[in-house]
Amino acid sequence: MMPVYLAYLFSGLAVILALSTILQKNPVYSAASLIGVMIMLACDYVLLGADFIAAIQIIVYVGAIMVLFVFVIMLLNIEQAKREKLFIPRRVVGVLLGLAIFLKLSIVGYTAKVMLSKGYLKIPKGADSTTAIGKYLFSNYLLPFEVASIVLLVGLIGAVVLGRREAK
Amino acid sequence: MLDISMQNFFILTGLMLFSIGMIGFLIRRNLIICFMCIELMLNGVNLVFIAFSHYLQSVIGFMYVLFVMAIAAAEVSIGLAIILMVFRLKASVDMDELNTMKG
Repeated sequence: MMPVYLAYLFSGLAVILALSTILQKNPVYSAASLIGVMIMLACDYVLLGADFIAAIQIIVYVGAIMVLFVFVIMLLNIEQAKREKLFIPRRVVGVLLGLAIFLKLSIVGYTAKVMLSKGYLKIPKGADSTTAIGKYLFSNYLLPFEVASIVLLVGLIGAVVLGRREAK
Repeated sequence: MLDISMQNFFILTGLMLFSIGMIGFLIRRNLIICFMCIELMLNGVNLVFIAFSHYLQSVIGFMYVLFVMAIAAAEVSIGLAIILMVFRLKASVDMDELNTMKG
């Protein structure tokens, strides 16, 4: 029964840290909370038997994306944030809209029926998920894999072009 | 490993992360925090993908999560470059001050 308690622990911490992410005034604290959310989600992935995805989550999200966020926060050098008013009408509307979406998704999620025997591209019995991912990534999903490399190249070139200062 | 009754719990967690990200996107005015909320929403979706993939013993969810991560990396690099440009132009990252188009 140990994994169940661990799942409660990791998921609860993830939700609390997510709330901390959106409620902090300082972007640096917000980024730190988001790093915590991603690490907790990686622990959840390990419980769900996705070891490779957990490692990639740590390496890509925590190691690359969030470090980029922190770099940009440091680079912007924002002066002390002006006092934001806590209650303005737009925020109440935003919270209500978010809760409505949550209710809607929960209703759909709890009433939908999933056929548990019908998954295809099955992971073979006794094989770990990394083997299955490697096998299908280079056979069934070869074209999306190559396209993803082109998308990353476009992201690289776009960031360089956009971030360049105008040459005089 | 985990029994089937835990499926709803992981899906509920994913839904809560998605909704919290959406609420944060709607109520905050700082561009960088709004961008972080988008990452939070993507992570909630990834958790639902992995949970279904575990209970269906299928590899499709893993594939989608890998591609979502690749797209998120490209999106973050472009988006942060745009935020840097906006900051150079307006010396501010407050969404309410970017009102020259009177949207």
